[in-house]
Amino acid sequence: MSLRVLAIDDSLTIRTLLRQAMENAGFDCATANDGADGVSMFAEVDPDVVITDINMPRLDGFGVIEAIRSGTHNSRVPILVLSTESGDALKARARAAGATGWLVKPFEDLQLIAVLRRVTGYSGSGKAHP
Amino acid sequence: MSMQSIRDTFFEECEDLLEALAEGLARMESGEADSECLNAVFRAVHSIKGGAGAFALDDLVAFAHRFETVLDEIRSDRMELTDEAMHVLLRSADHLADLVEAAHEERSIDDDITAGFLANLDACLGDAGFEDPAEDADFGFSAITLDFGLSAEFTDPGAPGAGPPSSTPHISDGADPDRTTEFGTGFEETASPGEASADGLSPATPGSVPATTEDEAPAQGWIIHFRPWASLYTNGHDPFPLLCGLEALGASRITPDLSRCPKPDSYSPESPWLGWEVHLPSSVSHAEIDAHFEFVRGLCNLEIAPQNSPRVIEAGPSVLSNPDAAPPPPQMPIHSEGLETSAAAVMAELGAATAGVGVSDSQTADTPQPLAPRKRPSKAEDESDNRGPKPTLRVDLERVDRLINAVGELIINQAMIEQSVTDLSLPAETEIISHTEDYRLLARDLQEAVMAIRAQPVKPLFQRMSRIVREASEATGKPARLVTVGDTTEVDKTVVERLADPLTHMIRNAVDHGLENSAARALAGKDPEGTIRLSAAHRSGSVIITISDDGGGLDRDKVLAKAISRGLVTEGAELSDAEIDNLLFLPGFSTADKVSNLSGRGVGLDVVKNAVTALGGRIAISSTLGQGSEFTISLPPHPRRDGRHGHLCSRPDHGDPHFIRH
Repeated sequence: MSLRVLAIDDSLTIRTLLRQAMENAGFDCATANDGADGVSMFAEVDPDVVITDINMPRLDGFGVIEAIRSGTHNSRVPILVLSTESGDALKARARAAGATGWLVKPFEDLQLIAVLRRVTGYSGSGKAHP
Repeated sequence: MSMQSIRDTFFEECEDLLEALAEGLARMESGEADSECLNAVFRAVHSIKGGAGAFALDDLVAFAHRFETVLDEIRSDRMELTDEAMHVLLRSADHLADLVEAAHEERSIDDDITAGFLANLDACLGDAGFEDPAEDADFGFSAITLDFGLSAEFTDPGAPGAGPPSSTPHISDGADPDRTTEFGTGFEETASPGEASADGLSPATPGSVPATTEDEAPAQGWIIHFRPWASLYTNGHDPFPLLCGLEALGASRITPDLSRCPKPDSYSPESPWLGWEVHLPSSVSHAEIDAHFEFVRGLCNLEIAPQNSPRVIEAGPSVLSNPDAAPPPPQMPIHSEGLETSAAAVMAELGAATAGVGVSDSQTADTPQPLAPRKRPSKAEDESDNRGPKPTLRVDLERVDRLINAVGELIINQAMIEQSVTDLSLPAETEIISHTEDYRLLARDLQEAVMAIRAQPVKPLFQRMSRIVREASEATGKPARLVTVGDTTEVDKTVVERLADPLTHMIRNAVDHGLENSAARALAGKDPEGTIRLSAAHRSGSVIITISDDGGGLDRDKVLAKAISRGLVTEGAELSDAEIDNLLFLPGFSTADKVSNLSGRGVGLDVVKNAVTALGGRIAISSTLGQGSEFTISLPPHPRRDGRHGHLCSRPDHGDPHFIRH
């Protein structure tokens, strides 16, 4: 079974890039437009890993992390923050909320995939790059 | 999906974001902005920055970053939104739009121009200025940076009252032999191992080689001690992939470290105590090992030491008493050959062990867990990309046009059938006559519905005009504001696209030629700031767009004189006011005494008129001396679109009345 990823970002461009990267790696990728959507989709998608932006309408990335961590379902799922921000204060806040890791945009597909594999332990080969 | 099409997606998204930005700034300017509006403005710029980074559009990223910084100051109330600052924001939004456009067209904008805008943004921030430019420079430009990089600041959230752990993963910190004894301290009856470890003191390497530095590979490889705290698990980490990754790096031995196992009478199922000792070959660099653990730094006890340093494993913790009076602690044979195993085998143990260790959620503990069949993300979720405040669907325009063409053919077909039926002169009660009638009504409904797909509000178009007014106002030194009315009026997409240039021209004209200068306005008892009014409405089946100014109005004598001097009118001709006004639309007519930089570019109102006519519309002017002028553009709701739907217009006997007005 391929790795299931939930990507939450309010930018269509970033969602498209993420989805492409995930699909090239042979992962299943669901996307959500903002934090509120992401949280509401979380149970149904039941991802192996979540990638979330921080600055989003309705519910920001910290809210997403807190909602998942305080939930009853799959609350220990790895959650990676993908943001253009790289300030220590924000990282600290994300970690305190329960983030698993922090990635800085722009991302490179292969490195992102490597990180996803590292935090999930997923070793499926997936598809080769087309 | 190709990179090019994602790029196209980005620029499409930029248009939406720039529109949202303009709208939000307009609300800020009018003082109606709430915090959500400020956030939306910030996010618009932020999203442009984020997307631009993915395409290495550095100019755009750099500018958006500065812009965003100022917006962030405003939204967090650290900076006051003065008129001056508002002006800078509006101009910056304009420049951001220019940068996006330039990037889209793969050209660059002169750095000096951008530098001017950046200086204005900097000035907004006042003395505080911008943060460290070095940080600025590597902000989001570089390739992915994957770290929390916080080891020094992080305390284990599961360790109340603990000071910042000084346990950095580097051995230099642990080179104090005295600290080895700390391993046995800190356990209290109810304390979790997480707390104990957060005493900040890693077990260290007595008599270790203090000279070992990060880039120096030890002769006999590395020995790593890794013991997760509770927070490692609660932050979604799993030791299994970490250990597997070490195995992939070439770990020769991974040994469970059971030395922190509490005595049965003080055993807490919530407390993680299991650790591992890992031997890595010298071919692996310290930096590689560091990178491997970067996300868990500060969430575990981690010690990376050269293997040639003799490490004495001290006693495990005494659970019940203070360290001074500790009875001999339980010893665990942690170096037993029998326990040496591969990561996979260790994890089999871990699966069993962690069932009661710190991880109450079996989902994480039983790694790898068998995955129950789960629903794939549904189609609806995939399409959720397009969910906004109002659900919308992004559709390739070509598809819509194919549909419109097909409906156009259908309408003709319907008319032909109707005609054929009429020609049969059947009795009035014949069924086919009523069916034909139904068909006609359905076909009309279908056509209306299809044309509505192309309808768009004029708002984005009108918003662009506020920029034109700003620029024209600056260029002429005449203060002016734009008032828009009816910007939710929907018109065909073609109208929105093709009216941009004519409107731009007319708005510039209105400021440049229509408005008097402020001194003259003051003399006439008018507000020194001129008003340009732009409105859109549907009126009796047409779209009516008006552009008016409250300037001096047309000087008809001057207009007539000019027309005569240009040979457009014969001397002594008697013209009505309306006829004189319409002279403005004649090719080559210009009322400006001197060609100005702004609107006198040899493009006259005749070009505007041609553009409107091409859309199947008409333009008219009315003017009152001293009170201003008004241009009225009247357009059919579904404009002629050259060639492709010509038949819709070319069959006035059969087509929809909408299509036969020209």
